[in-house]
Amino acid sequence: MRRGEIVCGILMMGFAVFYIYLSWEFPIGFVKRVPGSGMLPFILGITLLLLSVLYLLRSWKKAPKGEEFWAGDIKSLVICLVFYLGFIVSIRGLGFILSSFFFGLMTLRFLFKMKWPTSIFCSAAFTLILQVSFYNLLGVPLPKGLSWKILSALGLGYGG
Amino acid sequence: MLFEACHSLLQGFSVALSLKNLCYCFIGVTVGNIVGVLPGFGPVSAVAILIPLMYGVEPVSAIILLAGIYYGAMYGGSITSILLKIPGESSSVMTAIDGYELALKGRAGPALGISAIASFVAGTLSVIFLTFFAPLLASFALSFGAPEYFSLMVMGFAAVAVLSTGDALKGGISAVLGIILATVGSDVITGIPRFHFGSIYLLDGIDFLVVAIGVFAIAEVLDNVVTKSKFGQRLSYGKWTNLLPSLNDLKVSFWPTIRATFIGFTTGVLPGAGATIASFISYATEKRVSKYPEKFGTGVMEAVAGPEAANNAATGGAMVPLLTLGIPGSNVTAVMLGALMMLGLQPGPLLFKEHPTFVWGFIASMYVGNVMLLILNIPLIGVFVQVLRLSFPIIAILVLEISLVGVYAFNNNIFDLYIMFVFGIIGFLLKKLDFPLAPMILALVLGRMFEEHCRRSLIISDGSFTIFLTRPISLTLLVVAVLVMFYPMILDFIRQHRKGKDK
Repeated sequence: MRRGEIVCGILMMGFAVFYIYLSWEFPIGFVKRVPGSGMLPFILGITLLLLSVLYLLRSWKKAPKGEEFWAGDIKSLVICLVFYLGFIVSIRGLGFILSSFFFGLMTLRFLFKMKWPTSIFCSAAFTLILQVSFYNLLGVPLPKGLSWKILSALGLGYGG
Repeated sequence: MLFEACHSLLQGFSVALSLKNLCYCFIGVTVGNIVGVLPGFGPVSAVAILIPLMYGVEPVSAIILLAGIYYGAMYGGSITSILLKIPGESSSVMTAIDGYELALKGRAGPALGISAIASFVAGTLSVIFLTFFAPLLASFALSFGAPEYFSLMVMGFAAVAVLSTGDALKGGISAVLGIILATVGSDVITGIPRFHFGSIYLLDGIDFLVVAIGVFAIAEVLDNVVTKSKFGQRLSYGKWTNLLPSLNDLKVSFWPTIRATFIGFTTGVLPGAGATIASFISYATEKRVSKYPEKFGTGVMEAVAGPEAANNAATGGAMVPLLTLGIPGSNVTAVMLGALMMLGLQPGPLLFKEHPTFVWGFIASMYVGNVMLLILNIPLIGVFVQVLRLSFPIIAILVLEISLVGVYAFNNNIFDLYIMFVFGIIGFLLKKLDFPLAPMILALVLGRMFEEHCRRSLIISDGSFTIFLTRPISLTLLVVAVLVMFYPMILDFIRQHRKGKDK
């Protein structure tokens, strides 16, 4: 884990410096003795920087040289993230129904290697359950997009 | 005074036990339970949505229904926390840590049972406290100013940062990151927009729920996808009796429940502190007093009983300032205050004198509601646990889709989904590096209040930080915070000293 912790420590230090830089845009207020909107961010940035340095030093000296945290099935992780991001990106255009169905189908079939009929059935069932629970029962205005147009064209659109 | 309270309470029961009010109570607790289960659809939204329907309803019936939603949601919030590690409410975050680990060990049923029983005991005890100590505690809460709140939060952060994993450095980094996230959006005092990078979506800040679902639920799925270690492990529970808590579970949960009731009730009384901070303090306290603190985080029943009891006790506590001072102690009670005013009632010291039937009918209904919740939840444990019998791919899809819809439902905003996605990845990385994530969530929830109280205190003292040390309550809280921060070091020192003596 040693390399992972060192990389994490350096990234946090970088983030702390960037945050301190951003907090300079706002009045800190130490001179006027009235706390400004930059006071707490500045103190937090300095604190994070100090803690990151301590973390980095500790990792450098003490972290065990065992298995790194990125060990494992990284290919599956990337596939899962790409499918999920695709779901989020497409939800406005395709609407919830289609994007949810395709996300479920792709993930179950290609990530978890389930059979086509099971994947189709499960993704359709989840989409239906979520649509009915959130849209119809709780009144959450889930994105309609292309899904709604297709449903309306088929005469299946409901609830406006 | 005691006799008077008992007499008034009996009169209250005659109101609460009428068929009409029993129905309102049942509807309230059932809706609350469901709302608590669903992430993104919290009791505030449910109470707010139902307020317009309260026109024409008798005030006592209306408040019985709205309060039922409030404490029903506290019960329900634990269900998805334990089963799927999706906290329905911020107050369920601590329950998710050990509750989910228990579920992975095949002990979801007992964890849900203990959660329901602890919630019932704490909820009932807190209503008893509300009945007898309301005026006394309300006057104590009045003595809390900005410096005291600031110090209380410092103590909360210190306790959670140090005690959540025992690694103060990682806990501290996590808490600081949480407060940094809370600084995004309009400045709490001046309204100046900060760290929004030109995005209008970030002007209102980052919601805790979006981050919590990302770092808990999404990160958990990603972790399982990478390691594949937990695939198909959640199948066998054996006999149906294994779904209920054992005598030992009840025994180990007894004192945590009692301690958490006191913590939850007193924290709930403090306006702004509420159920979330109560559950965090309770978790930290249980770890502090436990004989096996190193096991916390790996599935310990006390870590479920404590936070669950605390967040339910806090709902009773939150009613104290609402009813006696007209000061809401939480978001939900703030909405309820609006509802009371809409119904023509002005909460405050005179409410007990001018509308005793209303106040005592409402208090009595909370006893009834807690019993209803217990009766509702215990038989349903078997049904809830069936969720875990599903295979991992099905659970993964369910978690990812429910998280997405829950986050979207929160603000109807697609931008939140991207934030959740990013925090899913951040949570996964931090989890892999053994960073505790609970301090980050607590800090994010309380960050804006933390900054507000800090700056208000400094404005009062003309920029002098000594204000936090010159007020007795604030000083005491800070001393406790320092002790908590150095607790691992003190403990190490004592152990080494003992070892040296033994040699």
